[in-house]
Amino acid sequence: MTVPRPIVNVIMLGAAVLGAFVGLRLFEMLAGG
Amino acid sequence: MGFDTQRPGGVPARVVLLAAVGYGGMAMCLTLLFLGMRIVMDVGGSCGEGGPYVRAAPPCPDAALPATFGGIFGLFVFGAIATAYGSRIGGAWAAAPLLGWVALFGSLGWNFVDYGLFNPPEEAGVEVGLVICGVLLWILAVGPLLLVLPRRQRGSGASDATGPGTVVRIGSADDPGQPDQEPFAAARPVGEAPSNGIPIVPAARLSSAERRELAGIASAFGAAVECAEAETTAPEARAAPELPADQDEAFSEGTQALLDRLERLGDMRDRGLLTADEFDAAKVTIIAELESRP
Repeated sequence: MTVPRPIVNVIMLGAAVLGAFVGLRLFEMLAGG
Repeated sequence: MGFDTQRPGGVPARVVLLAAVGYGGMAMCLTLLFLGMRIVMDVGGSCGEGGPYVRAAPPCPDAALPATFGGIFGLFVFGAIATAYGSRIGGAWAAAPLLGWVALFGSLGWNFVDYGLFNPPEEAGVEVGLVICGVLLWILAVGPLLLVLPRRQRGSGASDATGPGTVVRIGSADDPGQPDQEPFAAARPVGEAPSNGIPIVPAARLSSAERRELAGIASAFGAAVECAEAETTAPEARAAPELPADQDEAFSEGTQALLDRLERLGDMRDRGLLTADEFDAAKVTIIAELESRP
């Protein structure tokens, strides 16, 4: 199964945004907030 | 290093998934480092606990240690994953992990500038030391970009993939080039193995000037090979007759043309347009032709 290239770009950008959001939530969790 | 920046077709889902994990993980670690640094800046810029040497420092906030160390080591791990699988995707995603450097030092530099200039601790006014640190980090972040970007701009657009090691198939403006077609097939000596695995740049992405230049080089290359092959396959033809005196000048011009051709072939090899094997085959035939001349 292959993913078309335009979809790959969207997935990568989405992964980066999602990763930043996860980092933010993880930090809040570590800080006890 | 040449690579095909616009590989046609899709990307395997497994590669996409792992690259997404790499890029997402990098973003997560950069966020942790950014926030981990800010929480330490909030308590004065340094913290510590335990041991006789840290009595003067305030205790570290709970999140500072795991966020900072987790962010640093996680950045290595996820950066490696993103690099490995991003390179399989190709194009901009192959080089995108390097932007982690810019994001890391840019964001940490912003923290210094923010706390030194806009939000100084304890209302101490502008903290010049922090601002200097921030500016130095920004220079560290942007410096590599300034070194890389001019090269990308020079090689952008049509010729962005024509680096050393890239074989270019030359075609007309109407013929975008067939990636599966062997480049220089007409010019390749008989019996020469095809160069498998070498990426091919479609001619449509070359500028007209580049196309003309490459067509001229390829024509010279093909002519040299054909001429030399004709000489070597017919040894009796190499028995050159005595030249009349009035042909001496023309003959030396022919020798010079062969030497020029050899030099051009060397340039093509240096630019990655010919493999070493192709160059060697052409050189042998040209030298044979030179030696056949009295």
